Formats: sequence, structure tokens, C-alpha cells
Amino acid sequence: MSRYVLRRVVESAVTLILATIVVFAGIRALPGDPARTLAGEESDPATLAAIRATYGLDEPLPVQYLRYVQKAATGDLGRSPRTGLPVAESIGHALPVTLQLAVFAIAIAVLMGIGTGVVAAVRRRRPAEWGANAIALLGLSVPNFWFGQMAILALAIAYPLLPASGFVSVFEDPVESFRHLLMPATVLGTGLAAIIMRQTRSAMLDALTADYVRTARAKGLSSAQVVLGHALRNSLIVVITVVGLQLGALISGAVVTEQLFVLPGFGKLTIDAVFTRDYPMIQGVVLVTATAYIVINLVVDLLYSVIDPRIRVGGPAL
Amino acid sequence: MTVRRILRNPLAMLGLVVVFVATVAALLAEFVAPFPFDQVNFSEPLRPPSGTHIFGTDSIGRDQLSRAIFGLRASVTVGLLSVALSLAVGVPLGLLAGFYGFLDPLVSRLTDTALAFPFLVLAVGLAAILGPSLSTAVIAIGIAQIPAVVRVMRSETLRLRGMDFVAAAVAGGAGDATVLLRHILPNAVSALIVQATVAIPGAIIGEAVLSFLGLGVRPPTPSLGVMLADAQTFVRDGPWMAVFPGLTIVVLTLALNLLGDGLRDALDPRESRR
Amino acid sequence: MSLLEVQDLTVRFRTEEGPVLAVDEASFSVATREVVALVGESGCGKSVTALALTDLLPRNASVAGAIQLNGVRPSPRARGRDIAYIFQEPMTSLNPVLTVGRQIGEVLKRHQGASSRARIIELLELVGIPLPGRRIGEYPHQLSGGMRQRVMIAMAVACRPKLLVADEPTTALDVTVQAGILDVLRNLRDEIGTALLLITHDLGVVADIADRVVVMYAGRVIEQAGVHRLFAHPTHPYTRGLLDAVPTPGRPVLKEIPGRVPVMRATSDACTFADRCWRVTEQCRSVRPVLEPGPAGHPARCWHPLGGKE
Repeated sequence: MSRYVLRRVVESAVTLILATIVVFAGIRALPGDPARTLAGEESDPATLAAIRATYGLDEPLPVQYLRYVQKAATGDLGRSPRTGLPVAESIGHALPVTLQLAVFAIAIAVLMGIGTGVVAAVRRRRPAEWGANAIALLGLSVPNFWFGQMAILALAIAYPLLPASGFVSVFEDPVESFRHLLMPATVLGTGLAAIIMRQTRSAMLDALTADYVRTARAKGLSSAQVVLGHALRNSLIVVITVVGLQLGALISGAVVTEQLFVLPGFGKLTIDAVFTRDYPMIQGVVLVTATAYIVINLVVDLLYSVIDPRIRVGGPAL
Repeated sequence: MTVRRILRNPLAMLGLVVVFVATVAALLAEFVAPFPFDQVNFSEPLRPPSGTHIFGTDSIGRDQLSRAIFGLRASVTVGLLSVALSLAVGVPLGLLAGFYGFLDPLVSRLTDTALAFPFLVLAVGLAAILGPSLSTAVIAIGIAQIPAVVRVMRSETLRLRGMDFVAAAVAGGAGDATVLLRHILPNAVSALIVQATVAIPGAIIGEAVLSFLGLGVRPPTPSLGVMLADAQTFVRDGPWMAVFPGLTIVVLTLALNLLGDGLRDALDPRESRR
Repeated sequence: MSLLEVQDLTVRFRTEEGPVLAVDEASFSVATREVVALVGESGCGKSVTALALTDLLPRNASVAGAIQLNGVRPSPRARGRDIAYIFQEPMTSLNPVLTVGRQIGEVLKRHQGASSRARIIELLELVGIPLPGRRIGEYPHQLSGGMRQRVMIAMAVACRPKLLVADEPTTALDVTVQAGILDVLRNLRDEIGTALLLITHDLGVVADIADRVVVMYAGRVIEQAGVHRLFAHPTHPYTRGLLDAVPTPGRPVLKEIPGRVPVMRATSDACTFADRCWRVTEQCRSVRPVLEPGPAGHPARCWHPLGGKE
């Protein structure tokens, strides 16, 4: 157990170091002189030299890298030349928006995906299974931003039921927050739901023919107890892994969804930064995303070992 | 056997036909499209779909159907090139990681690192460095798909390395290169095809997303994603501008997914009994 | 009156390769506290018969015939309460993600409304599991094969079922462990008065524990008798073949029955053993034999029973 945790922690640390090198190298790969970029278009040699000295750009690259990591580790991601604010502060403002959106979307995806997946597996070769399969296939084939556009067209313009844009925090006004986030979270969640549905269905089909399910039936348990308490419980291990692997897709999806529904989150911050050439912001955003991804994946892996007793309490690896 | 299984699967055949028609239309767009994609007609702005303009026109009177057909060209190009890029990098890495155990941790860390940059975040970074363009889209999507290719190729290599015919080749004095290229790679092809059938529709949607956000194909080059971005401004007055390009993407990716599911069933009968 | 009465049980499966007749008008009974062994090679319909008792077969099966437990047809609710099962693979038959205690407690909760730690520990003791207080919180993969099978048995007898159906309970286990499991099964009859329907192809196990034997072949019951009578006077050539295949100290060379069990598509007007039988005649291939008392006095389904005038 502890060896497994230790190995995963070390692996994640190595990955994180590699990721910081990539981010650092990326910003150095920008066309032109970084000092000139920071200074803006017109700048005299004296200003450039001053900037170089301030930012340590005249030092060797490894020294610059270490300085960069050291600053980043203490929460100093630099200052945005566009807003004049520290990058960390902007990210701090945007993050809660994205987190609320993501949590809502994952909740929708898990409910829809597991629900339809179980139905498809239990109602084998019946209309319910075909319907669930068709929905999953559509979920994989429809780009979520277009689904979002169509949702806005239908639910905000043709029949104005929900707001098409804007954000209200769940901590300020839960009802309004729900109304504002329902459409974006559904749009963000459907792609993930389709993937969860397919995984749940195939894991459930395996589980339902397993010997331990026959045992559960032979014990006289109700169908609900057999399907939910035994088959689904085993299938969930697979599903959690899938959700973990789809985290990257979820972050990408959040960027698009926030852009579409004008939510002042992490994704919108990212896209705006590209178009205003706000390099410290891009660097900060990319670094924070990569770190979050690595950390969350580590957590999911460790969570996985909590749920599956075969990993948690030793025993033969399966 | 594989071919016959595909031919007997009506949904896969439907997918194949649609994919074929779309690809031909994309290649021969100049001849297929009723209008040039950039022909502006200020007397006919924002016209709803009609006999002349089946998909309607945009705010400056351009025929949306023609633009969609030209847009398919970007979709198909990015779809194929990015998957080719991911295979070109991922296959050798997967082969090496699976065959030489000591390289495995290194390759694993590299793919983990690549995975730590979600596709759009990667695209943002690349667009910042390279500027938005079709090549940026290809590179971003291609890199994002490398880890999946490495994983498939690595597990196939591990599986095949343990098989008798590979052991026989090694015993017969075949060098590592011969074993990898002549014995392992050809037998991993069907797994790679299955991987590609998932990757291509993903890449096509990826191109649309990037172009929609302004990180990929830039106007005036037509792309379905660019058309959808243009439609944003006119959602109230010209909803068809958003409906039809989107439907085009859906039909194409749905067809690819149906074809992919059919191929997967045909190549992997064990799974298909599901 | 017997505890379990099975009359003309017929089970058909619809499969992709066509219909399969797995059980063909099988009739037998089990008395209270009796140990009955259902024997035959694999593919004879033994397990299907066992699962059919409480409607545990997959959906593509159709079951006909009468099954009565104490005079009434067992309801699905009777599973685990009146008729309980032990399966062959203790490794896969227990749920890997639930603790031993939870899996036993589940049965108690379902059928008796409540379960307690004390009752579960009592059950684990009953089946001879050492340190039950510690085992209760463990997962199946932490136990040995024999211990897992004991857990299966504890689960099965939790509600003191009238009938325990054990489908090859010792086949997957080492010989030394087998004896322990058989001891547990034997004790159960004495301690809680459970009848046992033992499904096995191992005649050594049968001789060890059974009171009576029902022999099945290709879906049909072909002979039944008390265990001593059957071993002393096998009447059906197939039974004889089974006995000859058992290794005994005086006779080291095993005689195997040539050929294999046929897959029956539909009921046939022939003896299903005809193709493998050394006593086969034209009559065997054209007229279905009936189960009737043979030369030794117990019923067998054969036109040319052993032990009669040759």
C-alpha cells in the first residue's frame, strides 16, 4: 500500500518537474526577444537592459529556470502587462467559476452516464438499450460548442427560459446560480456522460455475468440489490478511472463552454490572454492547469486504491 | 473475413458511404460547390435556406453550402494530418517502451507530461508561440493524441513480445529491428486502426473547436468552425448560419464513429459479441 | 413425504447455435436431512438442474415441469432462505469489493430483517473459520481457497435453509482442503438439519458423504439408488463406466468411457448413451428407454441393464 502511494507520488513529482520545464521552455521559444515582448513595441536599449536586469534575463537559462520555479512555488506567477494585476490574483478570481461549472457538469455526467449505462446493460437487446446507445453515439459525435449554440438558440432565444450568459456564484444565490449554470454544465457534461455511459455499460455487462452476481441472486437478494449493490459497485471502479482520464477533456471543454456562455472563468481568461498576447498570463494559466491536472490525477489514483480493496489491502495484483 | 463483416453491417456501410462522399466533396470542392466560397453578394445578406442557397447565406451574402463544402477540406486535412502526426511519433515510442523495459519509465513520464497539458491548453500555448493557423491546429491535436497511440502500441508490443512466433524469430537470430518492424508492428496494425477510428472524428471536432475559438484556421480560409464563430454574432437574425455547419460536422463525425464501431467489431470479434 | 420433489423437469436454452435441451424430463426427490448426490460428467445437466430449482438460470432458458419444496413451488424469495447454494469457484463467487462480514450480513438482513456482528461470527465459527472476529472485516482475496469456500457455506446456511445445493463445492480445492469442507457439510446436517443436494463428478466425494445417488446423462436421469447399492450393483452401463474410471488401489489402470457427452438439440427417441455404449442394439437407437427397476431392484433407464441374465 504505502509503496504504491510512494511510487505514484514520486512519478507525479517527476511529471510536474517535466511540465514546468516545458512551460518555461515554451515561453523562451516565443519569437523575438522576451525583454522586448515585455517592454512592448517601442522601447529604447536602456529600458530593455533594465528589464533584462529586473527579470534576470541576462542570467544563464538554468538559473532563470530555477528562479522561475522558486517564484511559482511561492505563488508568484508574475504580473500581467495588460491588467497590471498579479497573474495569480486573476487566476484566483477565475478559478471558482470554473470549479462550480466543472463540479455541476461532472454531477450531470455521472448521473446521466451511469443511469443510462446501467439501463443499457440490464435491458439487453431491448429498445431501452438501443436508445441509450444511440444517445451515447450522438454525445460522442456532437461538438459541445455547437450543442451549446443550439441550446442557446432553443432555450434562450426561441423560448427564453434560461439566461444565455453570465455567472452567479452558488454561494450568493443558489437558484440564480442554478439557472445560469444549468445550460453550460449540461453542454459540458454530455460528452463526458457519453463516455461514462459506454464504460458503465461494458463494465456492467461483464459484472452481470460474473459468478459473484449469481451468488448474490442465489442469496435471494432483490434485483435492485443485485444490480446496484453488487454489479454496479464493482463497475464503479472502472468508471472512476474513466472520469480521471477524461479530466483533460473536461478542462478543454470548460474553455469552450465559458467562451460560449461568457462565463468569467479560467477558460475565458486563457482565450482572452492569447488574443491580447498576455504572455505571463498564458504561462501562468498553462502552469496552473498542468499542476492541477497532475495533482487531481494523483488523487484519483489514490482514491481508486481506497475503493478497490484488492489494491488497498495488498494481496495479489489482479 | 473482416471486409465481409463490414459489408454486412448496414450502419457501418452507411458511415462508409457518407465518409466517402464527404471526402470526395472536400477534395473536389471547386467543382462540387455551387458558388465560390468567397463570392460576396451584398444584395442577398442573411437569406434563410432556399432552392438557390440550400444552407442560406451569411451576413455578406456568401453561400453557406459552398463554404461548408470548402470547410470540409480543412476538417479532412486536419483529421488526417494530425492522426498521421500522432502515429508517426507515438508508434516508435510505444514500440520502444514495450520492447526495451528500461525505456518504459522514461516514455511513461513523457506521455504523462503530454497528458498534463489538456488539448485546448496545449493549443493555447502553441497558438501563443506559433500564431493561430491550420498547422497549429494539426500540431496541437496531433500532440494531444500521442499518449493514446503510445499506450496502444506499448500494450500491443508487450502482448506480441510474449508470443511464440516472436520468440521463434528471436531464437532464429533475428535482430531487434527485424523483430520490431517485421513481426510486432504488422501484427499491431489492427489495434492501431481501431485507435485511428476514434482519433479521426476527435481530430475533426478538435479542428472545429480551435477554429471556432480563433486558434486554428483563420478567415478567409473556410472552415466549419470559423463559420460557427461567424454565426455567433447573428444567432438571432440568421440561426441557420449556426445550424447547418454544425449539422455538417455532426453527420461527418457520426458517420466516422459508425464506421469506426463497425471496424472495431470486425477486427476484434471478441468485443463485438457485446 | 420428501422435502424436495422434482417432476419431469425440462430446461431448454435458445442459443446462437440453435436450441439446446439441457434437462430432459428429470425427476428425483430429496428427503429431509438426506444427502443426495447428483452425478455425471460435465455437460450432463447437473448444474442446470440445480439452478432451475429456484429460477436462477439466464434469460435464454425456459423451464417446464414441477418443482415442489414441502409441497409448494419455491418462490424467488425462497432463495437463500429455504434453498441455499454453494458454487464451485470460491474465488470468483464472492464479491471482491465487499467484506466477508458484509456479504454474510446481507443474507441475514434480507431474510431475517436484521444482522448482527455476533450472529455473523457465530456462523463463521460454525463453518470452522479461525479468528472469526478478524476475518469478518477482511476481503475475499485475503483468504485462502478453503477459507473462501467456508465463507460461501456460512453465507448459504445463515438462514438455516431446508435444502443446501452444493455445486462441485470441492472441485477447485486441494485434496487436503476438500476433506475439511466435506466435514463442514456433514456437520451441518447434524447441527442444523439441512438436507444436501450435492452436485459432483467426483465419486470419491459421493462415497464419502452421500446417502443416495442420482446419475444424470445428457439431460436425463438414468439411474438412482442408495449409495452402497449403486456402488455394489451399477445397473446402467454409463454408471458402470463412471465407476470404472475411479482410481482404486487394486486396479491402477483407469478405464475411460470413450467419446463425450452429446449436446442434445431436442428430445430424441433413442437412448442418449447409445453412441458410447458397448451393449448398444437397434432397440436402443429407436425406442426411448424408461426409468424402471432393474435386476438389482433400483430404477435405471436402460434396455440392457447390467446384472441381469446375460
